[in-house]
Amino acid sequence: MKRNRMLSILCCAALLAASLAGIVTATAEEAPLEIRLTYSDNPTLPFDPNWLAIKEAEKLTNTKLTFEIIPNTDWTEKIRAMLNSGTAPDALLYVNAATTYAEFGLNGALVPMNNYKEQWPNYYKLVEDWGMEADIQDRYLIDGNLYYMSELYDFPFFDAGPIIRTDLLEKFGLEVPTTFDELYEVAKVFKANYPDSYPITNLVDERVTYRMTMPSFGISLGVNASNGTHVTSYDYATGQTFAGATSELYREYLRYLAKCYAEGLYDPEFANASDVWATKLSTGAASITWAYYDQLGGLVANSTIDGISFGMFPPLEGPVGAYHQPKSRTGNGIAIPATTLERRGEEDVKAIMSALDKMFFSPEGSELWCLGVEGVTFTRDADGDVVFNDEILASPDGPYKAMQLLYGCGTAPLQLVWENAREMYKYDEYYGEVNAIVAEMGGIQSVPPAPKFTPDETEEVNFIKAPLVDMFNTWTNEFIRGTKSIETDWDTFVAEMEAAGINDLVDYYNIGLSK
Amino acid sequence: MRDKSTGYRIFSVINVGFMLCVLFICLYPFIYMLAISLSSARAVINGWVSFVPVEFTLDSYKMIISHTQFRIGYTNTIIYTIGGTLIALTLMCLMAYPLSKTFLRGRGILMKLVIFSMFFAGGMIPNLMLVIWLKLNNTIWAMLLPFAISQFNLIILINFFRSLPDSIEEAAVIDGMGYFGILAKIVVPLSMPAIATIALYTAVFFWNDWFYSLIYMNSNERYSVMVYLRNIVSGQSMAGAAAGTGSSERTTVYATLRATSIILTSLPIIILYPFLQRFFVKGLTVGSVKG
Repeated sequence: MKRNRMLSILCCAALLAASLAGIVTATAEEAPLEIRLTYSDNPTLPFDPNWLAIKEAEKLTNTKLTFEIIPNTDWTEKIRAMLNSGTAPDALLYVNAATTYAEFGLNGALVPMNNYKEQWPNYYKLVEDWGMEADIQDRYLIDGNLYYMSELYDFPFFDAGPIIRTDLLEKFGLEVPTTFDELYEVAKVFKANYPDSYPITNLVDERVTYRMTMPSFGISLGVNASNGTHVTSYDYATGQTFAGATSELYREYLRYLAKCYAEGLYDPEFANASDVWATKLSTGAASITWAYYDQLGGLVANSTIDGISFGMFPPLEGPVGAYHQPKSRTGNGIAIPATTLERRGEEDVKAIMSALDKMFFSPEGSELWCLGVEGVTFTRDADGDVVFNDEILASPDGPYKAMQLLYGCGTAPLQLVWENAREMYKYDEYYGEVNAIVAEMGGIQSVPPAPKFTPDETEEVNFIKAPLVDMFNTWTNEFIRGTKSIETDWDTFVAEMEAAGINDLVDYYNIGLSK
Repeated sequence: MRDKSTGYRIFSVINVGFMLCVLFICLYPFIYMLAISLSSARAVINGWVSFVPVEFTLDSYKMIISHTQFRIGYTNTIIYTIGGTLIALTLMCLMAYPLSKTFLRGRGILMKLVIFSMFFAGGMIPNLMLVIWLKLNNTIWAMLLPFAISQFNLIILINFFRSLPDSIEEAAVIDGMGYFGILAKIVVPLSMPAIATIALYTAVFFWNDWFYSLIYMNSNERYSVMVYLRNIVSGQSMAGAAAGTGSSERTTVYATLRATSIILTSLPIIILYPFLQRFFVKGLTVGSVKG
């Protein structure tokens, strides 16, 4: 009897052990989840499927990732073709509010992400931790659905701003300007000493300067207007859209630029899209601009001017304060095409979402895409600070670009969590300091909320906008060049803009914002 | 006579001078690109380059050729151009020859279908869906087959074939030659001006195409070099377009790299022109009127 009981116990133990082993084996051998994703390819950063970050992300989530590479110049066109023809991959990376998102979300081409909140625990944890509930709410469309999981910024970077020749400031005993009036005085000194130069120039064309300087004048207009309308602006005090292009604020801005132009302080080629920006700054033909911090190295390295140096400074103060271009705390993100749901079924889609959540938004996933792998790309010193490996530190491209090129870390389509303090490890000390100063002064406003439009309203808004944009561009150039007078022709300009429907556009936006 | 001769000489000098100016204006962008591509980045950024390379270097060529995507794209473009042109010429000859015969039954209907599809194309998405339905997307055939017959080129070829004397074909028929033999041994050799012209049109189309490669293909292994070129040339304007969030790939592409890409991608097709030029003018005009 005792022997039988013993045997039974042994049998049970053996069965239990066998089944446990089976479970363990099954888990260990579970086939990786296959996910096809889009990747927006940048010409300065050719995609490499063998990047360390991709391989480690696959290991972290037991997935097999396949990327469909789309040149970023034609990203929207290709995504549109994919969604229209039902050939989109399982998930779309790099979707953003400005392009395909609303258009396809409202037409049923994307899966409503708000129906699958439990699949995104890491995402919503970060949203909560960083107090971003309102930012995410703003991404909901008029049908009450959220169609993409955006990247998350704990605090927007001051990665670009006014850039001035610091060697010239020193040479002529000038202080770093903090206001637009002081900048004007500095430009006059530069011009007086280098009469052939036009001190102020634009990166590519006027759009970069406009978007980085207009906020200090209380407006944001042009191609890169923060609310995307080109001719209206957002009043942060009232939460309303107003006709920025016909406002006195814009008139004041034009007066400033026209004054600079008339005195030879502003580049006469300001409206031409060109690639000679670097040439002008490196040769001394220009000395003041608005551009990105990581572009400064190239200017100095290729210049033949002894002792040339540039500095990027906090935003300059204008009539309404000192503000850089507004920035969003949410940007590009992940969307799931509705065809994925049809093709792979709901369980698979849930598994894909959970894997993507862990891959991009979990603490270990987000660290991977930012810093790489501890012990491989970086180590931590006694204070816990990140120290990059020798290959990264020795790279002439600097840590930020080197990490992208070598390991795929920090690429815009793949890194979806941006923690300011962690990012600063990739830049020099000065960049961290200027970021801290701008944060302290509250120099970066948030991007205005997006109005909620139906597809018909979107069409109507675009219809009104088209002639206004042309009119705005033509008049702006003429005002700056002085071929039209800001004082005597202004009323005609305002009348034309009003006749073309700028106030109707404002109404549409304000109604859209109130929904 | 002497006056006329003097006037003629003056005219010739002015004419040649003017034409040289026009030639220079046309060639200058290319010369400038060539000079930039062979100069150092420092020389370009300092604005020293105008006609000839400054601080001569092949670095940008080495760098571009070392880009895997450039090499793959280039190979793809060569395959698409040669394969696509051969397929297009073969199929267009096979279609144009019977349609050039007025006694062919149903010719009118077929011609109407050709003309109809020339004016009322399906559009991008239906074409894409057809390619997908045929399981051609992301394969080489997606580039080679949909463009095999261009209606415009087909009509040129039909008109050219119709201009050939019937008596030659009749003699061949009496000698016992079949239609395929007549097409291969008589019609095609006699139609070289038209075929060479269409070959050039077709080759240029395949060489320059980026859009269909972008739409029909889904991977870097299949894109043509023009997709790569477009991306690299647009790099600068993209830097000026970012108006959103924070860090992104803003570093612009060096002017030397862009110039090198342009030179390397445009050179082969430019070289093709002189070889086909002797056929070209005749081919353009000869098929246009039925003689």
